[in-house]
Amino acid sequence: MRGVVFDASLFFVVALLLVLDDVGALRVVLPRVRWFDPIVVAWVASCVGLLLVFAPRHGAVLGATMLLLGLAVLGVAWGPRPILPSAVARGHALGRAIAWWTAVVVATCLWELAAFIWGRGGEAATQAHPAISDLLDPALDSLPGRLLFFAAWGGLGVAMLKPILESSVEAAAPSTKRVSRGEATA
Amino acid sequence: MRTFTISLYLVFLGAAFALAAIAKKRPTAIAPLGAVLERAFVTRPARIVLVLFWWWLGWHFLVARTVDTPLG
Repeated sequence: MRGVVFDASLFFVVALLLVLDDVGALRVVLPRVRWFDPIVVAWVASCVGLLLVFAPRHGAVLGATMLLLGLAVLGVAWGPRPILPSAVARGHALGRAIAWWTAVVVATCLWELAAFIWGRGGEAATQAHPAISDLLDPALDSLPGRLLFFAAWGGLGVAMLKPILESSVEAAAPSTKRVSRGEATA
Repeated sequence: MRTFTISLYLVFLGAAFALAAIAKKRPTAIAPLGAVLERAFVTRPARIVLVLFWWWLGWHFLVARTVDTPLG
C-alpha cells in the first residue's frame, strides 16, 4: 500500500505548525547558522549524495538519511526571511512568469490526479492511465535511473536551498548591513 | 489511452523546459524561475511548502513504496 497515511500526517502536521506560527501560538527558536564552511558543506553533501544514490531503495539507511535531510532543510527554510536580492525581476515579467509556472504545475498535478483516479480500476486501468509514480518506479531500480533522478531532484534542491541558506547566514551575521524585503518596501 | 496519458506528461515537461528557455532568452518578457522562487520565498509558509514538497518527492520515490504491491 502506498504510504498515504505517512504523507497525509506529514503534510497535516506541517500545515498545523504553520497555522500555529501564523497566529503567534508557536515560537520555534532554531539555532542560527552564523557561518558555513564550503568545504564541510561539500563533504556532507557528497556523503549524503552517495547514500542517496547507492543505499538500497526503500531501506532503513536511505530512510534515515532522508529523514535527517528533511529535518535539516526544513530547519533552514523555517529561518528568517531572505535578504532582498539586489536585482529582483519585478513587474509584468515576474507576474507573467508566476502565472505560466503556476499553470504548468497545476495542470501537471491535475493530470496526475486524474490518471491516479482513473487508474485505480485494476491492472488494465493502471496500464491505460499510469501515474507518474508508475512510470518512474521501474527506472529508479536501475543505477542510471537513480543517477538521473538524483541529478534532477538534487539540482532542484540545491537551486532552492542555496539562496535561503546564504540569506540565513547573512541575516545571522550581526555586523552585516542588510535590507529585508519588508524593511525595503515599508 | 496509455500513449495519450504519457504524451500529456511530456507536453507539460516540454512546457516547463520551454518556459525556462524563453525566460533565459527574454528575461524582460518572462522572469527566470529563480526570480519566481525568490518572490515566493519571502513568506515562511511558501518557503516551507516548496521545500517540503521537494523533500517529499525524494522520499516518495526513493524511500516510500510508490506503486501498489499486489495483494497476492
